Amino acid sequence: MRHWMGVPEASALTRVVITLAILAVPVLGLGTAGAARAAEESPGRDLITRSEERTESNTEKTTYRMELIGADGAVTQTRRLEVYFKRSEGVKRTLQKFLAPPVVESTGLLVEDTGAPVNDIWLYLPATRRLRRISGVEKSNWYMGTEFAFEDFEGYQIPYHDFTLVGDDECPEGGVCHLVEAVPASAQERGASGYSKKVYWIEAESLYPVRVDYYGEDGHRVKELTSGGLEREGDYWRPRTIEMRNFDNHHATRMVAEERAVDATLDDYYVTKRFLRSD
Amino acid sequence: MDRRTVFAVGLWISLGMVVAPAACAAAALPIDLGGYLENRSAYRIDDGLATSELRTTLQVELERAWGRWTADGVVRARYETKLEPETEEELDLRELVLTHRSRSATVRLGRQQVIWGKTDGLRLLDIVNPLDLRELLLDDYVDLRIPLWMANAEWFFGDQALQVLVIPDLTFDDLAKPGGEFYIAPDLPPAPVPVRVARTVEPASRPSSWEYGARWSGQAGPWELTANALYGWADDPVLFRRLEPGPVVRVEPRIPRRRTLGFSGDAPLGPGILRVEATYTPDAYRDVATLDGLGRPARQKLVSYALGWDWLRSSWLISPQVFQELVVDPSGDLLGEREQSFATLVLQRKLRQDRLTLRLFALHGLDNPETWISPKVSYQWLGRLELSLGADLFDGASDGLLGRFADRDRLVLDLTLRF
Repeated sequence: MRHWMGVPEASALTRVVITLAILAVPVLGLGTAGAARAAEESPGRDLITRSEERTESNTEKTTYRMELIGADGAVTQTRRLEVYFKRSEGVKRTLQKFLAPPVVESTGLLVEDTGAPVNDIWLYLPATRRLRRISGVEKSNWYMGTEFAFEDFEGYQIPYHDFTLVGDDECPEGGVCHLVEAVPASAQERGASGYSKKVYWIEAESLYPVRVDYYGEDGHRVKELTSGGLEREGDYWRPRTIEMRNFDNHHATRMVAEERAVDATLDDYYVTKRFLRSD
Repeated sequence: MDRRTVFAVGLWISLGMVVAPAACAAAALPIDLGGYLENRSAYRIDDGLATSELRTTLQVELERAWGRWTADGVVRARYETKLEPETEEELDLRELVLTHRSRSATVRLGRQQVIWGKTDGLRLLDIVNPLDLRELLLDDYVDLRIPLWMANAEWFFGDQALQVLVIPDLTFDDLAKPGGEFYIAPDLPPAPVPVRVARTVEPASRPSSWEYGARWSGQAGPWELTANALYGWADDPVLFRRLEPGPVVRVEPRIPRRRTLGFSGDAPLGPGILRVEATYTPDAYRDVATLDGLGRPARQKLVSYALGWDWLRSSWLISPQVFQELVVDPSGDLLGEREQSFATLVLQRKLRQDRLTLRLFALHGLDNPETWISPKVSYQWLGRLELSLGADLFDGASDGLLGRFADRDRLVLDLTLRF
């Protein structure tokens, strides 16, 4: 059940934008603290900073088909959701709202990133019609039965990581990828994150992170995110599909972008608690 | 299951089969159609699994949006038997709301629910709508609340908002009837003479009797806060009584005015979220002692507060809460307790890509030890079918609020098809 303000629905679909993800839109950027760390130049940090500049838009809205995939490879549930993103006055807000199936319809999540290490998160459950605040400290929590954790929506978190360029390799869909290793730079980030290390595969031409390897506390690879079918959306590259594969439980979550609008006009309303709790 | 119940269940399933194609037809119209068909069966554990409730519900939800306007309607048809002496067949226009949203305000007119507060299980600030208490608080609040006709406007100023409610609909709690599974007899002192209970005196519906509410919400540092005020009526009657010639005790149930002020807030604390909520009402009634031994209700100042903490960790939710209610500066010699304290705990785990949910809710009286424990396991198929098996287990003294239902422990089976 969607509500649109001030614009007919059809035009809204063409002008609004977003993207969930992690890689689709790295949601955390350089805050004040980050500026100091960014100054500590290294090839890895420089590459990640340029990647963020090349991939992060001001507004975005994407409609996804989400498939939850079981250990046997079968799709256990197919969902549809809208993801809205807007950056304004130094705050990045991402709102996700499920459209289907009926058991999750109108369930939504709003993440507010002010540049602080911990985000503000609100969850709306239509079954209770209540907005519930969630602690951003527990970043490793799973999200809505998917293989994504809350921290996977945070993007690079540049101020709070050390980045090292570890080499080049062939990208999943061909071409050259630069591999950058990211490790938490502070005790707080190490304590909050479920990962000891991430390796970003940055595609050399687009600077888009087409693959991310996530490593657990004991150093083994726990998850892999791949972004496929890169296509040009205005000034940005965007993937058509995103797939998170979990090597521990052998489940996966695949997201296919069905409609997308980048840097179109997006009313603030769509990234507010007010919109989140409108069934 | 008797023949009538079988017939009713069959009827609703047939209706569901009608609704499904209707939903498909609605898909072609600019109308969002949703809802559910649900069957609930409850069985008394201490009575050889005798049926204690059979309920079939068909709820249809419609929404039509155009520009800044939205119209929502919720119609509920319900067949219910065994819970009370009389079978209930209900067709209810539960909600009908016309909404206008502008950049700085939302105005909602019609029959609706308004949800205040941040507590789970017990309510302090969630007082705008009366409740259907025929099944105590064993159902979800969204089903327990009785929607009211009202005007509900909210203005937004940056991070702050001001909500104003005007409620001409004077509807009160729906209480279980004598003989009902969860009937609570009026708490009257033992009288040596016959008792005659008069009809409940309810306020007349005129503007001076309407209910009015306001809520401010905003942020202060890490805190999200609200300040709330409701000039309303008590949801349940107060039992005034007097000795009349006969002699006979005449009981006159009356709904008194109730003013409530309160606030709520939440903020990160450690790895979780701290929730606080408090209310003050100068118009609560509690029985005090009288020379004739009948007792009488006297107006008291009542302070209530709750503290809760939510910790979401991996697939777990752990949420403890404490509640306390305190009569401040009692007027008269109170017949009941001056303080009442409760603790609640929610433990929830989601598994199998959120299709399987294990949940435990427990409520425990701290002053008069009594307990309600409600474990539940739910499983979803195909994104629209949900089966859940749960129990409601009561323990405590036979005159306690929960302990009196110790012989009403029950198993509850719900089957829900969402569309």
